[in-house]
Amino acid sequence: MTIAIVLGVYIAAMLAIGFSCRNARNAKDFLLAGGTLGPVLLSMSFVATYFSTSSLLGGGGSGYLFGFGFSAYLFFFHVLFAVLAWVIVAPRLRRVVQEEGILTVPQFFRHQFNSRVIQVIAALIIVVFFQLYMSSIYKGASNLLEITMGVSYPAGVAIVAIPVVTYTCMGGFRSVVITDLIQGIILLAGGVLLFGTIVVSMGGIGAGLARLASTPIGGGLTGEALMRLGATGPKELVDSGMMTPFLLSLTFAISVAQIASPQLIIRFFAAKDPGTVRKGMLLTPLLIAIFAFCVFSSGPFAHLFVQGIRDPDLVIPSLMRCVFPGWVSTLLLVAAIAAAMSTLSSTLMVAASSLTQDLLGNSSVPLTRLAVLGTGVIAPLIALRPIGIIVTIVGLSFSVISSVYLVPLLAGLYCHRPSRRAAIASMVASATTCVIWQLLVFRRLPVYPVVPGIIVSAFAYLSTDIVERTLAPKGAEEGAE
Amino acid sequence: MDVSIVIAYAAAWICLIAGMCYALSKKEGRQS
Repeated sequence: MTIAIVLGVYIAAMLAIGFSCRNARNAKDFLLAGGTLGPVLLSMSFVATYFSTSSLLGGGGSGYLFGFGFSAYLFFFHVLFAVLAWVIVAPRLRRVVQEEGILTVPQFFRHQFNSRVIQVIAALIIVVFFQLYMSSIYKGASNLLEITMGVSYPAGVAIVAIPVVTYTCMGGFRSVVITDLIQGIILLAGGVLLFGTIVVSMGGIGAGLARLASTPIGGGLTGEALMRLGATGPKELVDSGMMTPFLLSLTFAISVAQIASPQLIIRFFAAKDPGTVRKGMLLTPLLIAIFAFCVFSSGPFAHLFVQGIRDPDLVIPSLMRCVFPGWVSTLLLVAAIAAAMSTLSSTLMVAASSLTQDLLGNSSVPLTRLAVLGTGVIAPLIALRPIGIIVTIVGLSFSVISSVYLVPLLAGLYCHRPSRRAAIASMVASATTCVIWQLLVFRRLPVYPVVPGIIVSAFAYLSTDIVERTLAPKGAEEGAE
Repeated sequence: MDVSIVIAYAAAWICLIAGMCYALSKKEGRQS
């Protein structure tokens, strides 16, 4: 009952924010909050969008199964790509989009590569794969509501979907970032509180590690195995020695999204000025490091508090119930729902803007609101009938989005004369590689498709660019499509 | 604890500090 009241108050607050931001004057106002975001809003919005329910529950829960090796490398890649996103991508991207009046990521590709084809490919990937990505977030959040509140699965989907679509539709990007701020504060406070409480109840990290080393964790192993890289996890992977490549590619695949995901880099478009980006460069990696360290490191220590959990998504909720009084764990479970909502609203906003701005070529605010409503309905419907293959598709969609965008984005930012043929070749090659790898290779070689996807993408771009420059007559200029 | 795990934790903090130093140097550079 308590969680229903807290969740009800929280959802009412989100809807009130959406209502208060309803007066968008033009497309820039609706899609980028007028390009007026300061450093705190920008950083918190980036953090809240990046960390979804799967980071909070899946990140901590997988640490419980795979040990400190998973937690440490996930933490390292999170910090590395947060720093790279803000140092390499943010300053240049903001400068280009502000100078040229660009409103979406596919529009940036069109401008840099002088190609409508690239804009359409980029927009189609967003519209299609984001629906699958959002459906997995709905599924995670609804499962959590099912367990904690006892509501039915479809009711859980509706409880999350209706407020998200409503406040995004009313308030656009401005309501998304303001709700992100609140959701980010809840999320960070929840992560720090969880880890702090665990450390205090263990009597310090050193004492906790010593106790964990002799604690049985199932399968005839003790906690000492959690402190060795690749020593715990699915038996066939551990026995075949493939656990370490699996862990490294998994943690890389999750973290690299920060540097190339459209729903994250769109935040750089909305920065008020260069000073805002510099302050964000300081603040965002710090916030990401604090959350990642606290939540991911809590997973292995959870063996001291809760034993025998097989579903990784249940580890953090069970840990919360064990170490906190009822009302605190209620607040923290709302943090997990907040994490889902912040990611959903940002992803929905990008999907809707790609549909109207990039595919339909229309920048009217009412049509974009209609697109938010239309695209916002599809993902919950997919989540209502989750098919077995959805896990594969979601893993694939995450890999496709990161690997398709990364190389053309960096080329568009840093090459003197970026090649549109090379960009198209790299996008098509990386998407194809990800699909083939996921369907045919992944079972035998458990390396996530994003890794070969990025390698093939870079190779395709460079080789096409070199061939093009070699064959092109001197002084020839590319024409626009 | 495996050395590789300790290195990953240490590398993350070093990376964070390096990023923050870079951001601060950009700030000071702009002011001067």
